[in-house]
Amino acid sequence: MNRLLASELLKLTSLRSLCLAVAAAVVAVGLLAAAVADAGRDALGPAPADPVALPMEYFAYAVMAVSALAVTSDMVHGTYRVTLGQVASPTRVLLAKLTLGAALGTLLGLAAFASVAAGALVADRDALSPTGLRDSALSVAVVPLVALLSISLGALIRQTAAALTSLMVWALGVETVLVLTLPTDVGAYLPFKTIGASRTTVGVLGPWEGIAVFAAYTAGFALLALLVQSRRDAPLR
Amino acid sequence: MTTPAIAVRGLSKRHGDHLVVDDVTFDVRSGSVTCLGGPNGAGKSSTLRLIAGLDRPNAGQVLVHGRALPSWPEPGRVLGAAFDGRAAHPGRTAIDSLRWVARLAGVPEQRCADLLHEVGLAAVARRRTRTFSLGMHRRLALAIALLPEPEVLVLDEPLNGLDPEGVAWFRSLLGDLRSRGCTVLMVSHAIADVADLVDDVVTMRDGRVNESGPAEKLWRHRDTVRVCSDDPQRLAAILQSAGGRVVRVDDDFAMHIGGLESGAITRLATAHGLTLTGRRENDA
Repeated sequence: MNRLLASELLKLTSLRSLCLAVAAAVVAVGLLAAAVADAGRDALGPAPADPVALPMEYFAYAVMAVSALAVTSDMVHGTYRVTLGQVASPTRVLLAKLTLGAALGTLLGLAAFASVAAGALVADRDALSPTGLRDSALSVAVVPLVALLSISLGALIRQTAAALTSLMVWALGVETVLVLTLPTDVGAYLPFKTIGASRTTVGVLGPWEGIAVFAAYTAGFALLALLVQSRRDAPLR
Repeated sequence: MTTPAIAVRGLSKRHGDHLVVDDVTFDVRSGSVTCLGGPNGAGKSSTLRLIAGLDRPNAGQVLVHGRALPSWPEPGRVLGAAFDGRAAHPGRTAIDSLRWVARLAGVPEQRCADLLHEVGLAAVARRRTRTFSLGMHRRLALAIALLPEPEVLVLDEPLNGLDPEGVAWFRSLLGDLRSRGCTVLMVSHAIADVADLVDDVVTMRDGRVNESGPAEKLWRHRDTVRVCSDDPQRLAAILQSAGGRVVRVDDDFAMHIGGLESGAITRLATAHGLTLTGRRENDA
């Protein structure tokens, strides 16, 4: 498993565009946090947005897109096939990808938080309220979870455009409509609404309960992907 | 009796209603170069994918050196495969496309540079593969397949996209693999380019094995070989002087030659500095 993990890590780090995209996202959310904090400092009324939660939410979307892209491009360009030729266990290959996604997602979440906190504090020394800090802790936990969800969905769909479109249309479109039409106590359980629990569905799910529900969705998708992967690719033994 | 390097037994694969591989059984002798031939849609590449363990058969089994491939602790060291030329992410450099496989296979990374040199890609080792030609992709895919030094190689159309220099290089690689005792099973439509290096032939038609046996025996009994050249008159004269006969002329470039085997035609053409732009064995 160590060789598989080392190999999957090298697959990711040897793609310059992927590394640059993630690095740019870390810097961009710091700048966004600074801009939001600056706007909040000058606002007469309530702050227009949370300088921590909003950039971290955007960062989660960036990680979601990059994770799906990393998995689907492995399948589209034939490198997954080469991996299977060496390992012959699609379940182990996907498990390695998920393990790496969780580890790198956590590191990226922490890096993004450091960037966001720095950006917000540079713009406004009082930008980080206790609530903001709690939200940021949640946001850091969300990053590896969305990475795992995207990897699972990417492994299921296997087509870059289809995987990205499905994720974005569901998260930004379908759920937005559904939450308006469904009763609040049902809408609060929609996957991407659970991780915005502290802001959009106050009173139904607490922030940590929301994370737990999203983690359950992620686990469900990961299990489904493992099951489908083992049936779809496994040669007869 | 020695265990065959690859034993295919009653292999079938269905895509929807279409049976693409239908009860296929054949052996590939250890240390031999075997060509899997047949027309487009005969099921050759599907069979190759099943042998390499990249697809799941509906029935039958494949044994590599007596065991199912996935049951080997390190299947990549037993069987290497190169399919349709592309096995690298376009955003990754050639050397990195080998390094991740080396890590996975537990091969020293120094071998990556050595292999790139061997396949003639050392000068472009740091170039991203999106800029590679089809022939360069073929060479890289072969390097990836060869990296763990497998005992058996499965190659799908390894000659596609190779220029005459690339074909010469592949011939020398195939000869080298053969002399090292490596077993090679390949699908190729340009088999005349390597006909003299092929030991056995399995031909497929409509998903089934049509015929199989030693290349010498099967190809000698063929009536004609279809050849294409940009100088067909000169080629015809050369072949006729060597005992061949022009059986039929298809167009300005293609003709059917009888009385000579494909390998001999290749050798004669090469010896006279002629390039054959296409060759195919004919059944009749």
